[in-house]
Amino acid sequence: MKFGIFDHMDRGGSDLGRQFDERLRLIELYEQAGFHAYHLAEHHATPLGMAPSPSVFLAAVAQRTRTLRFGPLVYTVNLYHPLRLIDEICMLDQMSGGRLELGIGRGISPYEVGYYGVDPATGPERFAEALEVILKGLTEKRLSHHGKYFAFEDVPMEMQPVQRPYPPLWYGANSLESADRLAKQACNTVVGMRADGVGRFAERYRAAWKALGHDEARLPLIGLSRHVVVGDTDKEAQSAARRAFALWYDALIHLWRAHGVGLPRQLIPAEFDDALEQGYIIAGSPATVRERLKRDNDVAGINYCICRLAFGDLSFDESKRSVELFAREVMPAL
Amino acid sequence: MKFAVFDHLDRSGPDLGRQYEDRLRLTEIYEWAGFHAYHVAEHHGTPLGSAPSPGLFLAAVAQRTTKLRFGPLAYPLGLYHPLRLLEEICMLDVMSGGRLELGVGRGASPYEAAFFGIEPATAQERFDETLEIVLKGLGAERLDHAGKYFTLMDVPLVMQPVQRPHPPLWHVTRSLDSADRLAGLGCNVALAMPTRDAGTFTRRYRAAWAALGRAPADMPFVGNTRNVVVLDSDSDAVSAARRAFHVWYDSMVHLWRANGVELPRQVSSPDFDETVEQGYIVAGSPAKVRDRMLRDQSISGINYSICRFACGDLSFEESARSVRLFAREVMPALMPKDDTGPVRAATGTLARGLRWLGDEDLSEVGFLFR
Repeated sequence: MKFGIFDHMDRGGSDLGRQFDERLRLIELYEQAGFHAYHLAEHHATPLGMAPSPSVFLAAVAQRTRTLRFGPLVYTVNLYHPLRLIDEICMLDQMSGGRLELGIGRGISPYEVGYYGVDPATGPERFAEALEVILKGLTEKRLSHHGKYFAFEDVPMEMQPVQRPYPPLWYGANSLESADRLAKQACNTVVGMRADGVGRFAERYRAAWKALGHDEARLPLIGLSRHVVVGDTDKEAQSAARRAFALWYDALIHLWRAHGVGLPRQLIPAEFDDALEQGYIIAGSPATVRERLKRDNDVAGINYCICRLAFGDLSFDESKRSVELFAREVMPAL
Repeated sequence: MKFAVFDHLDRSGPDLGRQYEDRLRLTEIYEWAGFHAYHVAEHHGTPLGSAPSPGLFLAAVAQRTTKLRFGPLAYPLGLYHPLRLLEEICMLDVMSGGRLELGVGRGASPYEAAFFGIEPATAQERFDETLEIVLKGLGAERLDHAGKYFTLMDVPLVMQPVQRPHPPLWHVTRSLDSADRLAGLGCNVALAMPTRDAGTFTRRYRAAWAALGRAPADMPFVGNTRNVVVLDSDSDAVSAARRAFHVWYDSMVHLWRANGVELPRQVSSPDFDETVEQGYIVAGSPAKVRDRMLRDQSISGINYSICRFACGDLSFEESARSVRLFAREVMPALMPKDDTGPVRAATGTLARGLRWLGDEDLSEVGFLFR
């Protein structure tokens, strides 16, 4: 079992400079605590994502850490020119000695891609073509491509990533059916479902992996992401979690509400108590968190346990305490 | 008089990871040595620029320094979506406590624009529209725009830069005729000119500034870019500078040559000695560099001295030695006794009715843009 961090970088308060600074300090603690990787979301024009160019923040992360791996989860590929993305991937991988984890997706918010002038209806097709271009660009010395959305003729690829042929790929999965395709692509996956749903996904992914004749020991990472707050007591942890969850949830639905609609797949309950009950949030004393994570991880059949230890208005000290307690009293038992 | 550094981040060898780390160590030394700002270029598909997304490298610079100002010189605006640029500018300014210097340009190479699928003939229009959007967006809460290349409808802008209304604007020019227009914009200028031409430019800029009724005390920075190598002896410095110049020049002309075109000689001469003569390169012992720069400074009339200490295959040790000697033995002598130069960059503006780029900007390589 490996442990990772997911971060929306949702707005925690009015002082963004301080938030960036405290987040970087926290990331140093993630590295010390033995986390495998730090994954950062990309969102635009919403308080849900104050790192709309995740590469810029990750370039700072690379300076503050030495072994921690990191990456976007995910790059909204359709909002980049493919050459720009190839450049950024190479720069980050080179600036970190090969520590980039490359999350990719088409961008699921129609409002966010709409602001960039991208027609959401073209999303899947455009994404497929852009991805083909990007992987070609990362592996070849010159890039030629003639497609529906992009045309390149013999463009020199001056930079290469450190990790060959390219950094590990990550994808966010929301459907059981995608397990077969992702196994075929040997893609690391973060599954956006409840533990029982993830359990079915992981089972199907493993079966597909085996059917492909791959070694089980080389199974890509299959992760489940949860908000985690660990405090000295259940009461203390849950009251901080409740407070921060409300702010985070507001940010999550911000653009949808602004457009007068609800979230399309109401996966995460709006009510803290429901979210806690269903395991979207795990908050409590070390013992409580340990028990719940152990149970849910078993159900989910994952090999990658992803935590969101900073969200909403959790203070630096609250998150820091969570990290300390998690590393000392929860991680070893898992 | 302020001192600054310009860096192409041109490829120095096969190990790019090491080059990045060496350059970051140099930025720490620039800060220690009292340089005002670090400016990095953006190039694509060429060994001339290993920071094709300069924002990423600058985010690292922000972590390695605490006071040094920094920025792209320049973002080729046509290669960015304006929202991405707004977001990146805000992130960099916020992550550095307001240390960003914002260089904007059309992009000097039609080949690089073509890689991105941009028709060179549209570069100017795209620049104008993108700059308008970016300046409208910085500091605003919502953004509307209906133009030829972009339509933005009521886009919420959730981030603002620290520096209001926006970080200081910079422009690179080789054109004497742009002096009047740039003075009108109140824009800081980085020249890439022979010393004598720089003198003509600054006289024109200052005259235009005065004619606009603006106070000399509010002058923007006007600087000229030099390759500077200071080592203990003239012969060491000149031989290192000569060696590195040829590597750098090859990178400079790489894409042009690949397309069967030589750069016009007035843009960049392949001859080391001629380049030294024009003042583009200053190499020697501290005494020699001091004398030459003092002389050139009085001819060029600049208030911002932009040095390139790392280029071609200069090693980290050579560049670091150069910077230390420069800081200790050259810089103090270049400070005018009663310095009336600006202490910070002017903000610059895109006032209505003013144009940023003029046709004269195309005078040298314009045939390729048409």
